Amino acid sequence: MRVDVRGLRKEFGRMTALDDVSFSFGAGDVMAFVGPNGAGKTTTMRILATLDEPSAGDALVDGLSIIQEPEAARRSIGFVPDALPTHADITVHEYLDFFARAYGLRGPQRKQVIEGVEEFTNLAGIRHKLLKALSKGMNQRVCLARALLHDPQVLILDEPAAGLDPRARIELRELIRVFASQGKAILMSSHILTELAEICTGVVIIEQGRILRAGTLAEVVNGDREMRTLIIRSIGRIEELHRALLELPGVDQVSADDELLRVEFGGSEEGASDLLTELVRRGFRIAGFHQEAVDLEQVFMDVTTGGVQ
Amino acid sequence: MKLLDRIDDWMNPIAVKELRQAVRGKFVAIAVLLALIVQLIAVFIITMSNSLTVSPTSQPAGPAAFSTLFTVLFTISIFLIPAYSGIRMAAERSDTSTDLLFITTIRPRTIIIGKLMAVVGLLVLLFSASLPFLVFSYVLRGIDMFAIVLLLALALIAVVNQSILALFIGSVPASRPFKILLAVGFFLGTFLIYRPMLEVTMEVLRMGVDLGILVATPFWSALGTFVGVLIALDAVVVVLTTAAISPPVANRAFPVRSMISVMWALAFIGAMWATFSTKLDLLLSVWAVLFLVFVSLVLLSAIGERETWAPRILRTIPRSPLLRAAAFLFYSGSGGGILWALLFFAGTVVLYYAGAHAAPLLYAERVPLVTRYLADGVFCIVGYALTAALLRRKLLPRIPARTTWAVALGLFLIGAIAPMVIGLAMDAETNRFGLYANVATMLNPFPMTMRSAKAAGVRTLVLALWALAVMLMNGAWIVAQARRFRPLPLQEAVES
Repeated sequence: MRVDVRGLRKEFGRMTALDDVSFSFGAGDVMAFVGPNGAGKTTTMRILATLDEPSAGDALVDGLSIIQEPEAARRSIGFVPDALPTHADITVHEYLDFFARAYGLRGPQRKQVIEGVEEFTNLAGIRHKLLKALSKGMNQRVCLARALLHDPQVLILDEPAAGLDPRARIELRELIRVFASQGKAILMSSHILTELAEICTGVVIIEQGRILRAGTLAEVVNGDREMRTLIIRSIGRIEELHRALLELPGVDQVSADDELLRVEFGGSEEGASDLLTELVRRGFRIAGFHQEAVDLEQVFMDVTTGGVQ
Repeated sequence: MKLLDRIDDWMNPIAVKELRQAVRGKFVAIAVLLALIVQLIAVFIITMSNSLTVSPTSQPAGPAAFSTLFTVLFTISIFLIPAYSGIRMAAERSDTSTDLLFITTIRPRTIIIGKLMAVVGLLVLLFSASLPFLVFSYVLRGIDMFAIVLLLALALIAVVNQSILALFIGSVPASRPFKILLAVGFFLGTFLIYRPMLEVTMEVLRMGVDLGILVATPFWSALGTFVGVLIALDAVVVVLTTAAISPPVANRAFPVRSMISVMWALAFIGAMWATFSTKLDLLLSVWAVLFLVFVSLVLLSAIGERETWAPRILRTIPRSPLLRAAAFLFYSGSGGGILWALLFFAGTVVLYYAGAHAAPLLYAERVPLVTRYLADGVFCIVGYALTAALLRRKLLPRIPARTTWAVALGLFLIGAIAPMVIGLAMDAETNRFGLYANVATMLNPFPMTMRSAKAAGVRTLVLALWALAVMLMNGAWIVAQARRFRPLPLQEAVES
């Protein structure tokens, strides 16, 4: 299972909501889709869910074009929009039964699937409760359950954690991990980047309809940054190492902190590796050498400008 | 599998959900309880007064009891059930509920049919709850079973008809104030059915229903025609509602134009049959006027439709040039819609004239005059609609295309209504007024104030030249759309 988004473009009148949006993710991936409000996340997700059509470009879901074969493609897609169910006078079970019928499930199979999904999403205990009596977290669970009814291999989740309390968020996170372990390909948008970073395997950063970064979490976080901070621990010869580092290409600044040296290095990961080789070649006894971790939030703040369309 | 399970599987999912929600909601419970309580009180009062005034010469109390109970039932049904359906539809349209259904296997048509099934289900619930009271009125004598069945059937048709309209209003993708305006109009329009229905009820109860007389009179053919026309009109509204809830990317115009085309042809055959039978062109005239109205609505919608097609529609365009040309007329799109409307305008006027000419009419001399009125109407609507399309493109590019109909309406107010209002403000008794009236109504086909055949002829000529001129001025724009209307190249389709 693989989802390939290819050059999506979407225009609303004179406004370009998406401009050449391309990325891909596969089975077992949890792709974080992040960007400021109005960046084009929901538009992209609605297009992937076959609810909207792009002005140009295409997306392939397991090889099926969402334009050429939307009916076939949507069989593989489960979509959870950012809105909760509004069917007030209906129980959890009836709501799921309604969507199971809508997905064409018949007879004993329908009952079996609903019961299975209720068990899996921990809704069995509240199956006879009215939707209006549920908390936001529980309603979100119902939305997820609904999206799972036809056993889709791709899950598109638009702000699933919005407005949830900490407990519900942790439960949701665990559920998403389980989905990923089952081999589902997941695209999830959220503004809570710290939580996303804990579960996602890849990241797509979008702003003003354009992709700013896309790739695995490591690629995006460590990828082609211009500056990176290297932390070096040496056994002895600290002062000498300090001076030597300042002479090496790419090194911008060096500061000492006890036995550690913090090096502001302007180069790629390969460049950092070459730097270490050079230090060892010069006879320095390097006991520790690592890059200071940069979190998703930092990358997000670095690459986005906060502009909206 | 058990029979009940099979039936359960066969049920429309929307109908199941709607009925579940309805029986659990307060609205329906209140409506049923209200009907039962009022009917119970009515039965109590009728029984008491009957027992006090009964004598060998007194009239049976059945008709009075039935008319009271029926009025309660009909009032609650025709005002509450359509309102309930329409409000629910509007609420669902304003959130993502309908959207979510489009990623399932459900089609927009299934949604509307399901909602109608739910309406019928609610009516059955309400009517069956009231049945004991209605039976009670039968026991009181003076009313026959056929009258009860006939009136209940008519009430059912009226409520379903209103519910169909309510669903349409609820589904219209318009702003809240506009929808409220439509809802108020709808509510007031309900009285157009409500009052005559109650009058018919009183008449049927007063006169009674003699099956023998009914067989001997054209009652059944008249009733059949009425119900047939109503069903046809409801079918059009259902198709329009289905188009309204379809996703924006869908080929919304296709079912609407197809439906109107088929009905246009079938209704013409029926109207011709009636014209030959009665030797009167009444039904043929009604057919022409009714379909000119439908086609006009299509034209007003078409001038604001898309000019390019998204890939999902392009993939369905036939590759054969002939089929592609036909598809251009029926698919969503501005140019095709305009051409479709022009074709059906011309067809309607020509068929009216040819049909009336071929039939042995009693008043054949009216035919050229009616044809001229029809042609004036066509030229006028084409003139305003295509001028609006031209203006919107050339001078008002900031106005969204989908509101071009409003530009046409504005032009109509300026060109047709304003001069007449100014004329009324002038002294109508002056000698100049006759000339002014002729000039002021030049761009309005409705007032028949032309005092001479010559003046009327001039108006037809002016309207025809205007329509022709705007058709030519829009020609290049329509041709460009026709050129763009091509299926996805095979290579691209395969690659995708």
